[in-house]
Amino acid sequence: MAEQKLKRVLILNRGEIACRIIQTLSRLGITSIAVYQAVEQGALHCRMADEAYLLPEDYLDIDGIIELCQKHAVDAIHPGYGFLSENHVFCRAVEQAGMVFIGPPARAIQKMGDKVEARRLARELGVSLMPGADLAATEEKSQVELEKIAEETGYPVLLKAAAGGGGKAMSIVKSKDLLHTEYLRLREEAESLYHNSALVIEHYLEKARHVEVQVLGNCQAENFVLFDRDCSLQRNNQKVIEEAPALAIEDGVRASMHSDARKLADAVGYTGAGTVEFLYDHQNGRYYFLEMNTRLQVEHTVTEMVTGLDLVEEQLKIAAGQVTRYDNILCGGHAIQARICAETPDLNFTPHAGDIVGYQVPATSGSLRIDSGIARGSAVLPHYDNMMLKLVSHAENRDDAIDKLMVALGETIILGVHTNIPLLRQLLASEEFRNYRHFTRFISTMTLPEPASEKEIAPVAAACIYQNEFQKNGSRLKELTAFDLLGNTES
Amino acid sequence: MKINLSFQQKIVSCLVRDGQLSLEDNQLQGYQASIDGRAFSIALADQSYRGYYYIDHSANQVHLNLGGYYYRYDLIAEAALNAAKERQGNIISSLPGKILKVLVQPKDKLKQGQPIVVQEAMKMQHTLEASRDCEVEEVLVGAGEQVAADQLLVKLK
Repeated sequence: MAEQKLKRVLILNRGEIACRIIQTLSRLGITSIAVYQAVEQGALHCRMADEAYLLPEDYLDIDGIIELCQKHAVDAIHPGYGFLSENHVFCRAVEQAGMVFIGPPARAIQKMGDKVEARRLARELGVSLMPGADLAATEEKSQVELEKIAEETGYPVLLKAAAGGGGKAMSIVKSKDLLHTEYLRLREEAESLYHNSALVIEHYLEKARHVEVQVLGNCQAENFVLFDRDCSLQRNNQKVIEEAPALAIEDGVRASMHSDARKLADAVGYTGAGTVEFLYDHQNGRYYFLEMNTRLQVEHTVTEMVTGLDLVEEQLKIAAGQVTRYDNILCGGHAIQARICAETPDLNFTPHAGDIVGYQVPATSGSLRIDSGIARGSAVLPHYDNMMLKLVSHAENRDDAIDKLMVALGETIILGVHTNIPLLRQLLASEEFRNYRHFTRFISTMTLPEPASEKEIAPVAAACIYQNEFQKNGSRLKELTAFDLLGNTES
Repeated sequence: MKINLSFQQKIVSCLVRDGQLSLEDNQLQGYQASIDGRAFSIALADQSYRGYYYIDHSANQVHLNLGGYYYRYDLIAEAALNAAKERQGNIISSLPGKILKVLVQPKDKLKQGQPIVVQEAMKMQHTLEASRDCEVEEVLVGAGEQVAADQLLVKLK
């Protein structure tokens, strides 16, 4: 593959990940091109990019996007995560239009995107899988057949769409009572979401950890392992706190997990950044392949903190055909990330939207990183994902990293939407997390204390503030100059 | 002077007499407040609370951040108090989005926690539930309808 120079890169994404990719492009002197929908006018990623163009339709409209890229002489497209990042049809369309897709080859995306196909591949390679079976789209199982399969799999079982991901179209079934009903419901849901009613049934581990391995394949499809992450703290099957490296895994087990991840990546001719996810049963030290995500992940930051690499920069080098190697990368210290989302701070996780009228974050340093997609004056829109920013701490050891992140979360003030900061702080402070006894279902077993004293104080504070304002300005309340919690958020 | 505040449909009225403020139904006594433009602190007995605020004059709202929690108080004119009280305890959308299902009909008797409306917003489904045992008075939306934030969806009594 001939090495080429990427001069104009379009970021087909928004929010914090678009901003983060733009930062690397700017540092490397590559022209960054943002896109947006009409509702996003003035969004941070558009202000940060060198150029910004209105999408003809939305972030999923393949034909419109390709046309837009050709019109603006784009060399390469970075898809970020979500949207079209794991869409092999889009990947092919980009290549056919003579541009570079910053990610793995289309066939690797396609193979790993189909859970049935990915499980088959893992089985062939001798990678351990959770006991389970494929439930093909073509033949609908009868209640009797299904019960027999579930019995062999072992309750509780997890039913999920073969084409699914991100916690959608999946269900945990504890006994045969609801098995067939849930099966039929999920087939329908999978059909409507992905036009593919194939499901996978797997044994469900009640107390396991989510451990994933970061791989990076060079342009010759030689894959390297960049250590692992523990992302066990999840709500609604979405991660909220992630860390690197994963701890409390025996060396031999870890080495075998890494080698399995590399084997899987090599088998599909993987190039670029990818993640192989496993469930790890800490009670018996066994692990099971879940899936491979063929893109940069939200939590790639913790790997960057412990390795010192900029994964987006490496993705760009690989996409440009530069031959890179990652043999001598070391893992130093411990990094933890918290995702700050606009949502109610209770355990319903109802998303929230609104205008950010106050925004203050702590100063960043070598040991505290902030990847944000918002600033004061931004709108958190109901049309998109509700994750606003990520705080990432890095320290010599895990305890110090937790402490640092706790302090940083306390110094993060957002006015305009509800946030999950209280929940994140409670998670970081919990005995279970501190002592590494957390597991994937941990959040669902938690209870959140009502912020009783704050709740009592809040109306008093609001009334005092209003009265104070009234006294200062008399009956004619004048428009104040805009609230400026922090002057440097837009720099 | 009387100040009426509403947060998540809960209305609090405060009276200001001789520069001292008292809240209806609130036991808090003898607090000290200091307000400096964007931060405030309230001291009560041996506890002190520090937070941040923003006053939105055009929307008549006070935004607060206290202990990481966010509160948005609407300032309600005395004349609008009755209308605001009437909205209390009904099913109101907190986000703009689409109504997927309406699970109740007028005259239905509901138990606390019973699902009433399923709404899709921010690509997620969430269910609005009865916060108390009650009866459905009027259903103002249907499945498939787009609704705005703070829109009255179902009247309960």
